[in-house]
Amino acid sequence: MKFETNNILLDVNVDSKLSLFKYIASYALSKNIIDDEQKLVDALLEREKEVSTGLQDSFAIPHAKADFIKKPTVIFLKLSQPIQWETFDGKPISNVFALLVPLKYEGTEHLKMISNIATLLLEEEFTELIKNTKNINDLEKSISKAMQGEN
Amino acid sequence: MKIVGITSCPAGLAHTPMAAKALEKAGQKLGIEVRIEQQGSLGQVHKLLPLEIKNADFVLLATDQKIIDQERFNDKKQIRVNIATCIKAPEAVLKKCIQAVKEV
Repeated sequence: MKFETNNILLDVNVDSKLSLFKYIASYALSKNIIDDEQKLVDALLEREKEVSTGLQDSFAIPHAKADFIKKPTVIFLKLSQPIQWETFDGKPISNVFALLVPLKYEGTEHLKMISNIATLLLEEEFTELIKNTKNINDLEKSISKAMQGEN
Repeated sequence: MKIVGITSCPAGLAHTPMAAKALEKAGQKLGIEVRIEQQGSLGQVHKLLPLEIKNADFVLLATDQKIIDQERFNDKKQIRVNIATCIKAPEAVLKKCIQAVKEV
């Protein structure tokens, strides 16, 4: 599994969590990751209901694990304006890692790579880098490295 | 003080490894031995060894889920905590649990 530069989306203009999820779903449909946008929106919302995926320091990691997801995918979105989210520090979100996983990938190396992104978000060096650049190459390099677990 | 623990969350994708790492890092900082087993999408990761469980002062269960092989901890003190709190404030969680164990 490789992180694709295409999956870095900058200046995403959404005004709420719901509109962000719709944006992610429409992108996933265009990339043939899913066939049904509404199903993905529902799955992401459902996950938020269990525990908010808002972290701190402007980051959120909405995720869905479902049989209708066709390939494991990480999408990074930088929002043009912060949106409200239930977070640890009470601050809004502007950097989003959307993690989409097919159910049948349970227990595979792909999942390990996706989990690596989540744990790297505990490292200030990684979050500072991601927060402070809009350079696609830099973002791609950092995210790919994070997924390989080189920390 | 030695602590063993389990992290587990509904999707088992993000919060499980994050909380494990946060708790272990907090342990290092506080000079406490913290060993966490993750029960997530990858199955049991860094599975606790029987000796580690035996030597631990208590078991930290960072989950609201059912745990695999909970019988392992039958004769140990167990404290259940919210997994999100472990990511947000891992040091505070460890300190509070240690305090609670001492008071029993």
